[in-house]
Amino acid sequence: MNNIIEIKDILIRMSELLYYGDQAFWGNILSEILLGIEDDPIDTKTKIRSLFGGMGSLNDVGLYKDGHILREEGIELNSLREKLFQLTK
Amino acid sequence: MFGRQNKAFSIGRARFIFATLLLLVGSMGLAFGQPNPFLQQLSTPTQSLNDQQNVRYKRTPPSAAVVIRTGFVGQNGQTVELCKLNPGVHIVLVPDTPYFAAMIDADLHGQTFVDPDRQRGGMTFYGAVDFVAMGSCDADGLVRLNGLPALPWIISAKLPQKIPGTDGNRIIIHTNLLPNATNTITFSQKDIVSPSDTVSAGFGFNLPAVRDAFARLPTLTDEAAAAQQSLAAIDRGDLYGAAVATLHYLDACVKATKCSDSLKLSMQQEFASNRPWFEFFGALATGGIAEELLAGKAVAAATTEEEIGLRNIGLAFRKNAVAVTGDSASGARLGQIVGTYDAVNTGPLQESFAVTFSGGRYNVVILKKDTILYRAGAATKPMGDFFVTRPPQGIIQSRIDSAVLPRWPNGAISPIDSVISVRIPAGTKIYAGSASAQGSLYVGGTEQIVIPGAQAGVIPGIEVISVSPLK
Repeated sequence: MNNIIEIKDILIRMSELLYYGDQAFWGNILSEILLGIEDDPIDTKTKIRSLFGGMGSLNDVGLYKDGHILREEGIELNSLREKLFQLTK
Repeated sequence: MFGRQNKAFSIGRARFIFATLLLLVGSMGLAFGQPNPFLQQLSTPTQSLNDQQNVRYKRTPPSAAVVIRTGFVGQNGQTVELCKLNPGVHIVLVPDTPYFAAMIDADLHGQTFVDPDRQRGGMTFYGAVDFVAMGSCDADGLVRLNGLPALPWIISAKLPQKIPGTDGNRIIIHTNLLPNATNTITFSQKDIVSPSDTVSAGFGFNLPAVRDAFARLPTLTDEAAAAQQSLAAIDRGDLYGAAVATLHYLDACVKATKCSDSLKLSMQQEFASNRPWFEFFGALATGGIAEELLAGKAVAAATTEEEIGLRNIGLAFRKNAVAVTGDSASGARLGQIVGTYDAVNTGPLQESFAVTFSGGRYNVVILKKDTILYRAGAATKPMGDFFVTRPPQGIIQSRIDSAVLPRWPNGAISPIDSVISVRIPAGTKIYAGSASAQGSLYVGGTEQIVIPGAQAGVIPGIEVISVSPLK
C-alpha cells in the first residue's frame, strides 16, 4: 500500500467527524485501524475494506449533534468514505 | 450466441468472470502444495460429455421454481412437518461444501464462524450471494425457492423446539453430491414437487460431466499458458475449459512459486483442510446449466459443451441473485426504472455503494409516490443511506437478510436496536437491487434500497415517521 499517508489523513479526518457526530463507535474503529496502519498496511487495508457494506456498515453511518443531522459534515464524511474505498482497492 | 454477438462485451465480461472464478477458487479453497488428488482422479477420462444426457436436458420442461415440501422424512422414518412446527422458520440454502457447512454449524450453535479467508487476509467473495437462496413457509405450507438451480445444496433451518425423530432442533439437509455428507434428515425427491427432471439434474448429471470435461483438457504446467488458455476458454464460452484452465493456472502458479505468498498459503491451507472445492466448481457448472433450464430457453439448441458454457453460468450469476428477492426488476413496483447497471456496465452510484449490491447490479428508480421504507439501526441515530422495503422482523433476520455484520474488525458489535420507518417522497431517485454478502452467514439477498445523501439530510422531504425496538 503506497498511499499510506493519504489514507492516514482520511482516517484521521473521518475519525474527527465521527466523534463529533455522535458516532464514537465508528470513531473508535477507525482510530484503532489508524494505530495499526504502519505496522501492517496490508492487514489494515483488509480491515478497512471490511467496513464497507450495506445497512449497519460504515457506509450507512450518519452524523448527529443533539439529535439533529449534521448536513455538511455528513456530506464530507461520504466524500471521504468514497476516497478511502478507492484508495484501498 | 452471446459472445459471438458482442465480442467486446464478451471479453470484458469474460475477464470479469475469470476474476470471479479466481476469487471463488481463492475463497472456496484450493491447494496444490502436493499432488492434486482431484487432477489425479481425473487423469483417466471416463466418457465424453454424452449426448444422451444433453438430450435429456433438451426434453426437460422449464421450471419456474423449486418447491420444497415441508414434510421431511427423519432418520427413523418419521415425517417432520417443518412449517407446522414453526410457520416462521427461515430456511437458508448454501452450496454444499464443508466451508458453508462450517458456517452453518457455527451459526446453529451460536458460535462465531471464523472465516479462514478473512483470518488470513484473503478476499471476501461478494459473489457468494449468487449461490445462496433463502425461503420461508408459504401459507400453503410449502417453501418456494424461485429460480434455484439444481446445485448440491445444504438446506439449513433451526427450529425453536426439538424435531421429532431427531436429536435436536437442527435441520441440515445435504443433497447427495457430496459423498461424505452427514445427514441429520434424509432428503428425498418426494420432498420436492418441482418437475422430476429438474431434481434429477441436480443429483445425477453434471458432476460426472464436469469431471469428464476436466479430464479431457490437457494439463498445463506453464502458468502463463494456463492463464491464457483460461481466458481463451472463457472467451469462447467454454465454462468447463475455463474452470479447468483456471485450476491449472493456480496449480502452475504454485508449482512455479510465482503466486503471491497469501494465495499460496491459502491454497495450502485449503488443501490441508481437504475442502472439496472442485465439488463447488461442479455446482457452478450445474447451476449454469440448470439456470438455462429454469429460464426455459437456449439449451434446446445446445449440442456441445461450448454452447452451454459461459453464457449459462453468467445467467446463473445474475438470475440466482435476482431470484432471492423473487423480483426480476428490483424496485419496479416502487416507480419507474430509468437505468440498470452492474459490475461490468457501471452506473452513476459511487462504487462503495455499488459493491453492496450483489454483482454490482442495481436499478435506478424514480419513486412514483410517497413510499415508506425501513431501516434497522440505532434509535438515537436513525438515518442512513440504506433501506429495505419490508420492516425488519428481528435483529438476527436483519443481519442475515441485509448482510449486516455482527462484529467489526475491533470486535465491536454493530449497533442495531431499532426498526426505523422512513417516508421517502415521490420523485426521489433510489437505487434498488439485491444486498450483497458480507461473508459468513450474513448473506444479504433481500431487496436493498440505497438513497445516497439520506444520512446527510440532503434529500428533500425525507422524514423518519417511527422508531420502535427491534427484538
